[in-house]
Amino acid sequence: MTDDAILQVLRNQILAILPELDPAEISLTRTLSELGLNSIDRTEVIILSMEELGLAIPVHEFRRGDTLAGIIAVLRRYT
Amino acid sequence: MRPAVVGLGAVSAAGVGVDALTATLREGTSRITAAPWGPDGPPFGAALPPLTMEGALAARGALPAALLERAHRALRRAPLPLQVAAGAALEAWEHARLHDAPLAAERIALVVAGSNLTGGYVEAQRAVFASNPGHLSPRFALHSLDTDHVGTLSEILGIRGEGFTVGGASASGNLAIIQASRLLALGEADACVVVGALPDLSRIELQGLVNIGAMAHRLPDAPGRLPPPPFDHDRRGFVLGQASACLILETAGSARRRQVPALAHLLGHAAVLDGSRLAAPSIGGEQAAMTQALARAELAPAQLGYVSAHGSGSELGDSIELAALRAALGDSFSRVWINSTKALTGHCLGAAGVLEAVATVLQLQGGFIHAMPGLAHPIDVTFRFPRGAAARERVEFALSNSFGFGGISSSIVLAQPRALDAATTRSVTP
Repeated sequence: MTDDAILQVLRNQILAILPELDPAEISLTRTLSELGLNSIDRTEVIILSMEELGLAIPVHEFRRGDTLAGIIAVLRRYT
Repeated sequence: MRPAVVGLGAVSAAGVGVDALTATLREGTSRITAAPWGPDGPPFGAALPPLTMEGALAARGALPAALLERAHRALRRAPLPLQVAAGAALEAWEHARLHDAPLAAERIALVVAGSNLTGGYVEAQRAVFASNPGHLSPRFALHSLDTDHVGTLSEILGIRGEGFTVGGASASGNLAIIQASRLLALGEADACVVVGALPDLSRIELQGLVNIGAMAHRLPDAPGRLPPPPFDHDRRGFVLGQASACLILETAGSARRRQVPALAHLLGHAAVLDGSRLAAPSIGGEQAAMTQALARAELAPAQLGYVSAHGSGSELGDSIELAALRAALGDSFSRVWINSTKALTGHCLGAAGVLEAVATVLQLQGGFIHAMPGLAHPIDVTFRFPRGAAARERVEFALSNSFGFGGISSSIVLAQPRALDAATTRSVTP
C-alpha cells in the first residue's frame, strides 16, 4: 500500500470526525492537533484507520504530535 | 430557603420540548405503543419519536451561535442519551435566560439524575471488542461513564461550578433535585441545572426487570392489547419510557437580580430509606417521605391540591402508594387530585422524577391536572383520579413522589409562584 493510499484512509477518517475541514488542509506535514482534533479524536482517527487497514497496533506506538507522515510511518511498519 | 424553578426542558415520547409535553398532558394522550423498539425489545414502551441531533437542537435557534456550535461539536458523534439530555438542558437554559442574563460560570452547578446510564451503549460495543479489542473506540472510556453526561453538558453550557451524578434507582430524579436544592441552600451555587438522563438499558438489564416481574407483559390471549394505566385494577407492571428532562433551580435572590421570573418554587423535600435491599415498597417509608416533605414545606395536607404519584403500574407498588397516601394525607386523601404521568410517557427510571417535576410545574402553570387515559377500574374509587379528561383546576401546592428499588422513598413539594406568600401566612406549625 502506498503512502498516498494510507493518507487517503486517514483523510477520510479525519473528515468523518471534522466534516467542516477543507480536505486540502490534510497534508503529510500537518499534525492532527493542528487540524483541530482533540485527544480522543486523534486516537479515534488512528484506531478507525487501523480497523480499515486490518491492523491492530498498540496505541502507545503513536506519539502525541506526530505529523501525518509520522503516523503513516508507524502504520507502514506493521503492514 | 425556597429555590425558584426558572427553567424547564424535556425531550420525551411526547416530542421535543416542553410545549409538546404540555399538549400531551393537557390532552391526556398516552404515548405508549406495542413493541416500539422492535420484536426483540420490551412488549410495550413510550419511545422517543425518530430524532436526529439537528432535530433535538432545531428549536433552540434563539441561543447564541457559539453555544449551538459547541453543542454540535460535542454531540454529533455522541450516543443518543447525551444528545437528548443536551436538547432538554439547552431548552431549560434558554427559558432560564442563562444565555442573555448570565451568571458567573463558577456559580452554576450541574446535577445529573440516574446511574447505570450506559448499559445499552456498552452492550453495543461488545461486538467490536470481541472481533479485535484494539479497535474499541477511545471514546468508549468516556462514553461508558455515567459522568460523561456531566462532562458533555458542562462543556456545552460552560458550567464551572460543582457537578456530579446522583443515583437512587427510580428515585434518582427527586434525589437529584434535593441535592441541587442543598447546593443552593449551602451557598455553593446560585443556580443548578438538574438533568434526568435517558434510560439506556442493555438487553440483560431489561431481562432482569422482566424476570423480577416488574415490567408490563403481554396477555397470552390478546398480545397486542396495551396495558391499562397505573392504579388500574388490571395493571401489569411498568412500561419503559424514553425521556430526558431538565429543571433549573435558582436561589430567589439570584433570580430576582437577573429579573428572571419563577415558574414555581420548591418548598420542601424528603428522602428516606426502608433499610431494605429489596424491590419491596413500604407504606411506612413512603408515608414518612410525604409527611416530612409537607412538614418542611410548612404545609398541612388540607392545603395540598395535587399529588404526582410515583405510580409505576406495579401491582404491589401502586396499592402501597395509595395506602401511604391515605396515611400521610389523612382525611384530605379523597380531595386531592392524583395521577401518574407514567400513564402517558412511560416510566423513565432515573429521569422519571425530573420529568414528573417538570410535568407538575406545567400543570400548575396551565391550571389543569392531566387525565389517566384508560383508567377503567381504579384500585380504589375513593381516590380522586382525573380519568377521561383533564381536571380544570388551578392548584397552588403539589407533591411529587419518586420511589426506587432498595427501599428509597422521596417526595418534593412544588408551589405556584404566587402561592408562596399565602403559604407563609397560612402555615401550620409542625
